[in-house]
Amino acid sequence: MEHPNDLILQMHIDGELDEEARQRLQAHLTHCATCRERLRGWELLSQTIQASAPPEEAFSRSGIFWARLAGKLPQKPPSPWPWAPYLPPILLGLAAICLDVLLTLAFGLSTLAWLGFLPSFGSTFYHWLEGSPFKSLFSLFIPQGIPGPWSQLIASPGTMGMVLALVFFGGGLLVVTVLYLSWALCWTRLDRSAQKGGG
Amino acid sequence: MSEREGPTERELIQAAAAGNMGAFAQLVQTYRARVLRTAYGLLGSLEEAEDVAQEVFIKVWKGLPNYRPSGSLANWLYRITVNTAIDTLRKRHETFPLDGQELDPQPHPEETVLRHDRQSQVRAAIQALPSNARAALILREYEQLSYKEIAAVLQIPLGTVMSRLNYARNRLKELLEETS
Ligand SMILES: [Zn+2]
Repeated sequence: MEHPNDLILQMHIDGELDEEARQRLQAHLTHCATCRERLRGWELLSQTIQASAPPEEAFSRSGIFWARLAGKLPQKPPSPWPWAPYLPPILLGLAAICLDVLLTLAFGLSTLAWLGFLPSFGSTFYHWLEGSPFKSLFSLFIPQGIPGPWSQLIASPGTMGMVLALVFFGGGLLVVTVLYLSWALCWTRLDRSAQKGGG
Repeated sequence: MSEREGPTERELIQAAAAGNMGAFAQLVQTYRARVLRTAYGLLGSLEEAEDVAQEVFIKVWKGLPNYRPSGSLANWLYRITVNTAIDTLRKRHETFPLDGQELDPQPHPEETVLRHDRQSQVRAAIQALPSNARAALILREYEQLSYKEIAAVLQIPLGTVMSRLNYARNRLKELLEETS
């Protein structure tokens, strides 16, 4: 029988020969001292390489390795959409801006109505009230609950529009301020957590 | 009756992917030595192997949420380790172009631990091999991977694994015969 090549001998050492090939090789090795010697040479090389692997003690200890690593890991795995944490402040800010625009518009329109450039906001409101369930409540409140000159003033449709606009504007301004403040708080908290994560 | 023996690797992977650092620490503990040894085998420097291993686990932490286990976690880790180490080798070549010195890098002080005459000769000879042959050899001899596993890690055909191993061993034999 022909001598097996080096590749076959190496595959044998690596445990990669199939059963049939392994038996054929074994049969050859029993009567071929040359190939036994060659096989021994490759086994020796394999052992020499394996012995050159650094022992675990050569590396930094597990605790030190982890301490160094943990400091560099981002706190959470990256979010599927990186802007997600910024969504609440952005939405709050947008809501405040929209409200602000609406309020300015409402105040401007009612001022124009009060000056007589537009049909009175107050009288439009009054007409709406006449057909609504609030009518009885409103008529009960205005003539009796407020003293003479004030009730007259408020009852005049033009002034009514002005007063309603002021109330609307004042209350709205409060809402806008609260929204802006929450927006600012959200934003600075994000900023602080980003600094903590980065440092 | 089955005893409850801590979480399985699959559970640890899921927990780590969801951001659980404790679970990730256990995975690091399991695979740290293998990653370090492989990186050392490719780079021949303890210091660089530590840096590469750190980089590998950061990549794993970031990659876990998208990790779909098609093979074993070990094979995925070996692949990242080999690629990261080869990137480091490439950077080394960019820093010292046309410099033969990198075949026998100067030992760092802590590396004197490893300098046992014959073993250091073997390590130097391994470093003198082309990096793709070296990767196959290290995965086989240091990590005891089968040819099939090496093929999966390096993403090369089985026949290429065999020829690279054969080349690496023949070349190593020559190099060691020259030095002894
Ligand atoms: Zn023979």
